[in-house]
Amino acid sequence: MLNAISYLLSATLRMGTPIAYTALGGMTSERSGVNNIGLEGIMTAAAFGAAVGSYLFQNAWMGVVFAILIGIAISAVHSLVCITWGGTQAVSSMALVLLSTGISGVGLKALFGRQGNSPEVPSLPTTTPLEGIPVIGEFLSQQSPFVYLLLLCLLITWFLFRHTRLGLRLITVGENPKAAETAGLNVHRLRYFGVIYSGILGGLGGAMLSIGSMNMFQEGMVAGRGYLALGAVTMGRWNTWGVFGSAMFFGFFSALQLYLQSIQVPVPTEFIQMIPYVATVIVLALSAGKSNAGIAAGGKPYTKFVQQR
Amino acid sequence: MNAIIQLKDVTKRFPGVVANDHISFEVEKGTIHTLAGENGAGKSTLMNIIYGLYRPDEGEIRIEGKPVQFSSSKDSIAHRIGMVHQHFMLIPKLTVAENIVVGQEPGSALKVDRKGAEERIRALSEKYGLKIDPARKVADLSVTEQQRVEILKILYREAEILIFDEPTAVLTPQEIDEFCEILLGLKAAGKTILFISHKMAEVMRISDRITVIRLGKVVGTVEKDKTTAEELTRMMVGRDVSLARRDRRQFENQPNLLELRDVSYSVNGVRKLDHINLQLRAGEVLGVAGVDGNGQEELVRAIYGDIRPDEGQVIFKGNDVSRTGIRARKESGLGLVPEDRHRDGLVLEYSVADNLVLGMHNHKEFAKGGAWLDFKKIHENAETMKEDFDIRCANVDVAAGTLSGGNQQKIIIAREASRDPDVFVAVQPTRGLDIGAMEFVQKTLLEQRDKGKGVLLLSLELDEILSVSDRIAVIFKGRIVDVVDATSVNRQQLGLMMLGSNAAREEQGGVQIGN
Repeated sequence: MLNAISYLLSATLRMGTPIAYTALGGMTSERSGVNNIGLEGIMTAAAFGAAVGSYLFQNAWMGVVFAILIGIAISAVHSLVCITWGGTQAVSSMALVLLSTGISGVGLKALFGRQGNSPEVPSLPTTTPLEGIPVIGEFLSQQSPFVYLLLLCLLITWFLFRHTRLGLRLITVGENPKAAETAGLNVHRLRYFGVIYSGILGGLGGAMLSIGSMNMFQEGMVAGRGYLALGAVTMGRWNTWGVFGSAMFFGFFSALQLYLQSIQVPVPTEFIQMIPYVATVIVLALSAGKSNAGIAAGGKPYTKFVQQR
Repeated sequence: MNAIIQLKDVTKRFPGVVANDHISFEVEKGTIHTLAGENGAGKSTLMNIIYGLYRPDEGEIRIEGKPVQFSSSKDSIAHRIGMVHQHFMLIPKLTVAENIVVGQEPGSALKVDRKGAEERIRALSEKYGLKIDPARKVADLSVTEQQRVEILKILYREAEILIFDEPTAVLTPQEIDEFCEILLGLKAAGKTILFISHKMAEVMRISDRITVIRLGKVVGTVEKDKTTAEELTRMMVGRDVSLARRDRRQFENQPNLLELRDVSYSVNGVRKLDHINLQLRAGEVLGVAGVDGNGQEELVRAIYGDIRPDEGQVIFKGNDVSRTGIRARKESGLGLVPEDRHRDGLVLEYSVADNLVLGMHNHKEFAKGGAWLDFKKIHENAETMKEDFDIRCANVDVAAGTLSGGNQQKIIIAREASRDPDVFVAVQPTRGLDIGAMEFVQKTLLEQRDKGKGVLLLSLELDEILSVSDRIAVIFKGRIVDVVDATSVNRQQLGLMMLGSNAAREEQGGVQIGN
């Protein structure tokens, strides 16, 4: 029994963490008024980038740095298109998803001369310094450092919106950019911040997949987690804790599914694999319509006053 | 003479129009200076220039004698200029305090001092008698309270020059009185106020000086004490305007075009319409007077088919249409000028031309075979309408959202009139319009009447009801309390009837028609 709980908890964290990173980033971007449907692409490119960085320097932490840089680069392109040029956000996002998928495939071939997956690279599967802690030390040390880094990001994101000046301003540009401009704020610059923040966190989410829970990049390894993260943003009602909780909710059902498969319950696997998705549909259906939350000016490009008409 | 703002030859051009054409005038410190003019005369553009949101193409602005050039509102805020925009710049989700301080938050970058902000705002609010609790969410505030939040926003930024862009457009008559008191209080505290309005009563009440602009040019600047409302109106419109009572029509034995029989409707157990009986005859304007929220909205929705009454029937030209949809009713000859022109009347992102055929896009004349839009015809139609209804826009391809309120309303009226409906329902058709546009709208309604149509006019403005209607129905708590001949009542009596007073009805003793 204890074993089962420990397995489930551990798997929940492993499955939920990449989604949670990406979802927290996506929430920040959306709250600043820019939808980033391309989170899937950021995760894909970052997962690949993490493997490359880790491979080149033979150091997993360099992989993390690479992933972050790639996240920033992709979100910067998205910002340029959507904020500065006022392009359609969904189109830009989808283009970036396709681009990322393509680049990682081509990159595998070019850098490693292989198809499908990269060679094994140094990874960050455990957090050994925590071993010394009594009783739970063993459990804690079995978790990837990405899990602990996530808790830090969670606190930073919460603090950002709860207390900081920047957070209040991000909300303002997301809800009513005109009001922000008349209050003397730079709408575009603030939105750039929101999108790039999502790039950084999405990058970490991607890195967790390739060098956190595994030790290589595989094509298709993101498998829709970027979209699940978007779902978590909506399900969590753009609230830091809500979004985190929703991501972990997805993580839990993925873990449950894995667990049920491992103990070989007498039900066809296909049904068990459905669990996370069915649970998602049920929860979304039950929570729909409860609030009219959402971001008032979300998804709409903003043209500065001076340039209007 | 101590001019705090001096404008010299300020000019702003937009593609196709000169919005401000060599505007020059001065505003004295500590006074209320009104900028009056019709919708689209260029008032808002000029204010946005002074506030730094637009850059002028030519001319000079001096603040306290020094020439200034603003590149954003940050600069104007630094020069102690604040502006309350026509459409409020607030975020409903945030608290009053958060809305006010954003951009100039107290505390450190890492921690906004929300408590300190609330205290400061509470103090400011008390000082100017604005009565606002800074901890409340803006979403929970009424329109007047939201406006006060906007005022606090600029007072918080220590503005000395306060610009108000048509602040009274969204207020009811009582609220306007209160608002005028607030402005006079601000003036007494030494602030300079630039007030934009086209409503003569309030202009004459609070202004010290008035600058009138028309078609982007200054017509003149006058002292309040040396002018009259009539003179100002003439300056604004460029001719004499009269909104006085119109000729009545004699109508006898005219058929009922629209009839409501015992219509009732409830929402969550609250009776919104309570056995409404109403007849609209051919060739008359039937005004519906009442205090806002007494069932007018539901009445209109029941007529055009947005709601199905719980009981009773809606008879349109002799047929029971209670169960038919909106489209069918409109196709059979119902024209509607809705209350909220942005939400229900127009698609703001669409061009003027497209808006002019909304709902008729599948009619033979605009769609070949009912499916393929005939853009040439749509365009021709728009050009004709633009001329006939004096819709002022650079061309008919610009988005409807870029036009002034009066011209947007003209699009709706033109479109609905062009359907040649038998019954024309107009809900607050002149709200927010200047006097010239108002006259035009009222004239159009009367033209419809003279063509033998039935016009149902719902308005909160008693003067409008009295001057345009032939008969007046008074609605109170979802009931039609009386239907009277428009010539038999005066403003006071009507006002009392709207509050449900029986005494007033007996006292007026006028001719009772119907019911």
